[in-house]
Amino acid sequence: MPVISVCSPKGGVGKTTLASNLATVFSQSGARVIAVDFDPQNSLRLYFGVPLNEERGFITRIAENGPDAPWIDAVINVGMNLFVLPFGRSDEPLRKVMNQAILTPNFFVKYQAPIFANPDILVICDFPPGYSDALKAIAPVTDISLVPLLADAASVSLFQTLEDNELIDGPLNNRLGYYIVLNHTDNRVRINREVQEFARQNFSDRILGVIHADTSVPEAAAMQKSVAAFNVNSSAAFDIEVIARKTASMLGFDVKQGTMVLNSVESRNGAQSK
Amino acid sequence: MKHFFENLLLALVVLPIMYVMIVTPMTAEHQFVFGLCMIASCFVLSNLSSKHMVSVILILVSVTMSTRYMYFRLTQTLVFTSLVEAVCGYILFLAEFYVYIILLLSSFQISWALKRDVVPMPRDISKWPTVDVYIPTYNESLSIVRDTVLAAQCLEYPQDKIKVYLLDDGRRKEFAQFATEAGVGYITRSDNAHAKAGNLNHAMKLTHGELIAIFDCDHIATRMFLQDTVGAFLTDPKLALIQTPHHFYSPDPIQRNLYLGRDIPAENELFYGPVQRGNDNWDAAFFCGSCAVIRRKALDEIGGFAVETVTEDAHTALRLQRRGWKTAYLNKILAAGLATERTILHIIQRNRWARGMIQILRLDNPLFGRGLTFAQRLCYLSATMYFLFALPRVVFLVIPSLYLIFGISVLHGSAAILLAYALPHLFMSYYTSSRVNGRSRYSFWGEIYDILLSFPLVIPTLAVLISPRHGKFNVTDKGGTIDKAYFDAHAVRAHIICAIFLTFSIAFGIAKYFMPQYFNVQLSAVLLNIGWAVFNLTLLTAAICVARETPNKRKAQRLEMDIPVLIYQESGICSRSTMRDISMTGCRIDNVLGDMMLAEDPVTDLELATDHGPVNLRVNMIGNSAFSDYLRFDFGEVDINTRRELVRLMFTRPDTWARKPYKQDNIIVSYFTVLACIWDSLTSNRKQRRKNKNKEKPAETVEDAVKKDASEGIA
Ligand SMILES: Nc1ncnc2c1ncn2[C@@H]1O[C@H](COP(=O)(O)OP(=O)(O)OP(=O)(O)O)[C@@H](O)[C@H]1O
Ligand SMILES: [Mg+2]
Repeated sequence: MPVISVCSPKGGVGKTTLASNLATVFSQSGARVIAVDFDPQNSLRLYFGVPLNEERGFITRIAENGPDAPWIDAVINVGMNLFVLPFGRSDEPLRKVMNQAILTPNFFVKYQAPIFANPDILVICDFPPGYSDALKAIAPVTDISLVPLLADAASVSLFQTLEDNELIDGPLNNRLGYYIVLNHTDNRVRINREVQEFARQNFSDRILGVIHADTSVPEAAAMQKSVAAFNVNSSAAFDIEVIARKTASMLGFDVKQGTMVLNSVESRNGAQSK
Repeated sequence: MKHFFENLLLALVVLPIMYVMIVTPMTAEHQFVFGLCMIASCFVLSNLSSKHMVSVILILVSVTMSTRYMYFRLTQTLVFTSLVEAVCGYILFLAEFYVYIILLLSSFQISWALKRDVVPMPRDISKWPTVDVYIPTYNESLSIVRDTVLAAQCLEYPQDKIKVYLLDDGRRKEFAQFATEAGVGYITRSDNAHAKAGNLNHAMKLTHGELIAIFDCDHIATRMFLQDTVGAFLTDPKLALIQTPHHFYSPDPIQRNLYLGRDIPAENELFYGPVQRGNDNWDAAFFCGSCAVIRRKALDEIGGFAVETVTEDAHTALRLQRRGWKTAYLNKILAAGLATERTILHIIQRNRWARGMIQILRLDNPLFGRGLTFAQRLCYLSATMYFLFALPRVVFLVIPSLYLIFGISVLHGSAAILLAYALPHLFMSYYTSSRVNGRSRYSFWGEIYDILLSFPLVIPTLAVLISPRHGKFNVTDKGGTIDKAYFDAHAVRAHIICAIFLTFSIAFGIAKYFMPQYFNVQLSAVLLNIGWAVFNLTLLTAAICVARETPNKRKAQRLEMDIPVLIYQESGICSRSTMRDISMTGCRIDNVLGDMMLAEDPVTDLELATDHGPVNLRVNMIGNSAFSDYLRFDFGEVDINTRRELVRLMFTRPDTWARKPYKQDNIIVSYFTVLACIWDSLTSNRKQRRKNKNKEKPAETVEDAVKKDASEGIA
């Protein structure tokens, strides 16, 4: 049931990085996770080792079976408890069809319930930078929105933009609201420190955490690994885990001895076999 | 009132009994049995209960037995056959009488140690008084003063209510420059009149804080210092002073050269413990020059810090108390400094203390003059008179030799009766002080400390006693290092001569004992004096061993500390690890980089995650630690703000100096410890006893980080 959307008014701030790594962390904690890519760049899948030539995605389903086609068939299992739903290869007219479809009221509950209204599945959605129809469409089913921003001078004005709901002309979700993740922080750089300080002072209850600038992140992406898998001691990986833990507790997950239990696969299987 | 009558009744019962116990004459056998009975009953009582009341009874019995001994000495032993004997005999008696007076005074002083709690600050910050922090310095190097100033800036107090001042009596340009850079006030003056007291008084004219906190230039304060001390001034408008312990994070010469790593209470533990707490009980805690807060109004009333003596601190407190101001001692380590580095410096420092205290005794004797309660008079008398110990100490050291070599008999009476009277007196005073002070001073160490200072202090103290207006303030050098072990024979020359003399006299005594036919002596008396001389020689040797300076190379104090750290490599890879120890110049952290190609991708920076936010440091890796368990780093140039954060991290946590209490003393164990220390020192057998090394904490986990953030209010 829980739907986490990862979005930002800016590009290249680490949305895809955060979405993919959160998905990995949650899945490793025992939750069944689907990472959904709403970015036409279709790059989220690459973070999970899906081969480049595998170009299917939910938009391909729409192309093949019409706007109401179930997306679940396009989901790819990429690890224990871990699934990815790629965007798929598309062109402009096709994207128009898709946008129209998802903007119909209750689209996700009505047509994509196995994914977006499934109590056993945690959904993490990655979006293109700035406004997108998908981001607006997903708002009603979203529980929490995570907004990565860089700790640079340009971000200072964005804090207020977000506060004023300007991204999609309305709240990003109707449940827990949005939380900012300051990414690529580097305390050695004065301006970077000052922006963090500014954010903490003025928007403290909106700041979920920081992720240190760490070359382990792009290195991991290049090797199609999660950051933690690339470098167990990576500071960025640690920070992402802290963010995952906080997100979980806000969503009301059961966190037991460091293990997140969200109707874990095992217990579900156990229930079925009885 | 009821209390008063109870006490009166008690006194009416106890005093006659004590009187009888003191004056009743007995034969040697009876006295021996009586002494044994008293010792036995005290022993049983002491083991039955650890209650304070039992300690008081023990003190009372001990005082009674000592008084009995002194009465016996006065009435029965001062019979001499020659002038030489009479002179020596009276000198010994006076020395004993001095020790007896000190025993009485200190028994009174320590019998009720006050346990003072921190008075919390009011919630309403507008009620907090303004504070000037003074850091006086004269000739110490900037490398020492710097961190003290930076730590003072880390004191947690409303920034508009605290001002830090560096009071530089050395008029040094680089100090002025440093003060500006650090952002503290810099005060200097054209002359150095009245040394430290003059320096402080001069600054008082230029600043305006309601309270004045004083830190010697090597005393680094922990950040809660003011919040733990200032509250008391708000609840008690008559409070003029609150003193906290002087704690040393470097070993003093005795610890370094003689304890050799053993867990024995440092010399200052007794004073900054039972003694000051006892003083506090009688409202007679006194100022010790540093780590204290004083009310300006009170100082103004007495015309500032006292300048007449070289111990302006104690004298200032005395003055305040004569005016009816109260003082307090808070037994909580809130700051730490450097101990004196070498034995000779220790002696020089104590020389000043002794001269100053004797100056007070002569110029402003606490027994007389206005304003003090009787109890306060006794406490101040005890503190000042204590420093007359030098000559009596020397007398005790050499007296047995007089008998052994020259046959001068200074005590009239058989060995049996002398022992019968002396042993209960000695045993009871050791036993009682072991019980009462056993966690801050182990048996026999007090004698060793005194003996170390005794010879060098005889002349200076006598000179001041005769001519108290002469005396110069000397500053104790600190922060030096000792590269190679060496023996500072110069510092203990007199001790060595005395030790040779004692050895010789013991040999002589043994000869007399085995060849009585050649000497006309009492065998038991010879034996008694040999025993006494051997005991003296033991303690004297221990004191001499303190002058065997062991190396003290590490200039930067290294503290164990488990905090998360980020390691930046040149490529930008940033990994988390845990720091295990740190000094102002470098640190050691867990090697988590195993296969992160340290050779091609060296570490360039560290980021320490402190309570006060991240601290970034440029570093160089030391040596090739890539394949060991720990990575070691040297910090490069550290700017002043970073250095302040390092100081804050290393020295200002409230629990920085907390330690487990020392084990309770055991007289016999303590004696053997003294012997073992001497042995190890003579054989250069420095044990690598690391003070119960802390277990390393596991690295910070994600849960820890989440909890920490939550407590800081970030989602
Ligand atoms: N904490 C970090 N430290 C170092 N590099 C980072 C960090 N976070 C992200 N990056 C790098 O920044 C680049 C952009 O990240 P990412 O693709 O996740 O951003 P995005 O917001 O999804 O971008 P877009 O807007 O294009 O979708 C990537 O190369 C990524 O590896
Ligand atoms: Mg992206």
